[in-house]
Amino acid sequence: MRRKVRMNEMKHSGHSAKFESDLEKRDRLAALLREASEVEHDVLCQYLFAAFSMKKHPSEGGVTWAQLELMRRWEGSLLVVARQEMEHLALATNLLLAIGEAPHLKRPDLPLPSGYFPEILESKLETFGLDAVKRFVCFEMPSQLNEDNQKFLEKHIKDFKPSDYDGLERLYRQIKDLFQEIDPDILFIGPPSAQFISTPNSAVAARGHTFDTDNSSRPTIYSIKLSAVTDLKSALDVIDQIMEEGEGATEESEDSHFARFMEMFRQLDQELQADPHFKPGRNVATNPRTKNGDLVPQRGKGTVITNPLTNRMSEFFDVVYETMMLLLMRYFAYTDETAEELLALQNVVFFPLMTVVVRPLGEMLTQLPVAGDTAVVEAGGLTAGATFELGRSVSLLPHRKAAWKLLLSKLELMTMMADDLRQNEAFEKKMRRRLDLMYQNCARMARDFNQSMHVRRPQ
Amino acid sequence: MSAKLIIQFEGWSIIRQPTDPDPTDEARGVSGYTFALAGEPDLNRVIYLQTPQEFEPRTHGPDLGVTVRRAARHDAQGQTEIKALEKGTVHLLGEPKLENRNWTLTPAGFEPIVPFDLEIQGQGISIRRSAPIDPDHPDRPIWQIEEAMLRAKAADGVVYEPATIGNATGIWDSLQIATERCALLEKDLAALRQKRHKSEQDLIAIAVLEARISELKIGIGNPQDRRIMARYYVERFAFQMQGQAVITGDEEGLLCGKLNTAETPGWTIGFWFGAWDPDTLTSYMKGALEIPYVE
Repeated sequence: MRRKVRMNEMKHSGHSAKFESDLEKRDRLAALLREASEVEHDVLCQYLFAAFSMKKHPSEGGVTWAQLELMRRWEGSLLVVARQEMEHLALATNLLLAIGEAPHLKRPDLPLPSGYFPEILESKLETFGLDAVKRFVCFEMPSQLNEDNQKFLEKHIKDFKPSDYDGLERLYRQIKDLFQEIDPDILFIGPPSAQFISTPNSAVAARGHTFDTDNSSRPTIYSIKLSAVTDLKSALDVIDQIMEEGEGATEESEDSHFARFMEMFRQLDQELQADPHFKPGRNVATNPRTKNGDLVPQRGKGTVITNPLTNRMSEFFDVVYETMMLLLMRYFAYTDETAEELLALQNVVFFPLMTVVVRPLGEMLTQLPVAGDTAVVEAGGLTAGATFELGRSVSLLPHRKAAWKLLLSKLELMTMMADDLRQNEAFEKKMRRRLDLMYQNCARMARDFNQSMHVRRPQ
Repeated sequence: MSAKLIIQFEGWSIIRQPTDPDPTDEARGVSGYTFALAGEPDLNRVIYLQTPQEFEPRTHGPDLGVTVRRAARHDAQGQTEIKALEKGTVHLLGEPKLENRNWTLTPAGFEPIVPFDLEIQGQGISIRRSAPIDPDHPDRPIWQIEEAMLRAKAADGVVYEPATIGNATGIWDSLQIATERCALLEKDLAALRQKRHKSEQDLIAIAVLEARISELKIGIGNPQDRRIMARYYVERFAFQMQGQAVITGDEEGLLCGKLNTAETPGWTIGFWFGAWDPDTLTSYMKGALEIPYVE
């Protein structure tokens, strides 16, 4: 009703058509930004899954020391790209916040049918290998290729046409066009203080010398560069950054995601031709799923984990992932938190949680059997992997104090689950050491969070 | 003036640790700039002040070993050299590690060494003392200790001090060191590649050399990269050592008096680690230990 009244007023002023059109475009823009957030989130989970699945020692079979050196570079590259996808997700969030919309962190569980690509290119959690790398190349493909890359890909992809794979580029182009078409006064209504930016110093607080930054805008920390979106220019800059770093780039730069994956693809192909026994990825089940309780029907496709111990670790991973999303949501869409409270959130969710819990757990799961016992793994049977399942919808916990309480409870639950796992003698010694460190780190994070947020009196 | 023994020490140590953003317990190194290369044992984060027995250090690195450069009794009469400790070896016992655990305990650059159990050996004499983070509860797990207490025995940040590094090690140009090292490794690589029959060990050595050259070239290509810049930084530590003290082997009185091993006043230590060489995983250590004599 209010909108109609406003429309009538606008009619009298002669601006109604533009106003209505801008509002429609704004809604369309918000929908596309949510879509972009989902796509970035989906691909980063797939890259992480593949990185976690890589073998680490010749004793695992199918790899030599020399091949492991090559693989280490591939894994490093995958993790850099995954971090930049996290950056893209954060930048898409900044774009949403700039236009007054909520962050969008939910996504459907994998596998997913292809949306922006030909039917063969579904999104799935798959071990590292030629098939996975081929998909990653396609995800990041620009619309124009040089002759070398064109020929190489024609050899490996049936009926290959680069324009079949430029869906992400088209998505970001549409977003860019819409930003340029809409009246900025209607569009940029989000508070600048809500923007998430990388801090202007090195990750290590170094005194007496400032590390070089790659340009005059924001510095990078571990390949992540986050800039605020407050107007049309900064919005377009951020979209260009996303496109240049990976999706939708029209020119192939050395460090683009596409260039990294192409190099990986060529090297892997070459190595497989030289050594047909080369098998860099563990025998990880595609799309592993945590087994639900008996009363809840298992939804979705994938390989259900039936080994109870592996499933327990998978449940732990799911709790960690969900907690991380809730923390991120509260961080991105904060309300009346103080700067200190925001810092406390940041100190949990970014570096420690992703590094000391998500990655080690994701790696350990690829060493545990999906079904049967450890003898199955030794005999070359399937192992599990990080499910990246979101058991609940990731929405904003709206009330600050209640949010702190719930988040602390989740961190404490993580600590309890880690404690339970580390004491289980069925895990081999090295894994128990990792779990023990994880328990200590979870306990520390929960304790620090409680102390910073004053959720409850320390016992 | 109260009499005290001052022991000055320095030398190269080896620290095989993963670097951020790798997890603390990453065994091989992936995302950071330090790695366990082909055929090498897993990274264990332990600080070795003497060449460890478990593995062969990488080629073309500095000579390892932190040793006593001077030891003297200082009192109102002046200084008396203690020859028995000269060239003695300095050790950190019990698998000491730099502990910030991906910033869960302290920010990077402000981490303590845990455990800190120092031993100096020279001519049959052993001087040993620990410095628990929480002297009242020495067995308290590190992850339960408050950050302020951790930081009391931690480094005071990562500080750019090229002159300190240059004076101590002779290294004034990190880029030149990396460039020269790279040339030496390339020469080794060429020689190995020329071998007609390559053993399994040769293939592993080739993989190691290729990886080292590749990492060095990243730094040489961008001298602001931490592979080059890290060599100009120090982490400084200074604290009281109040843990258990044990002195053995001084039956002949070579230490020129009885050292005070009481909890108070304790011993004072100050030192820095720096000149971090990510190619050979070595770091220079220099400092002094001050021990009061029993009056």
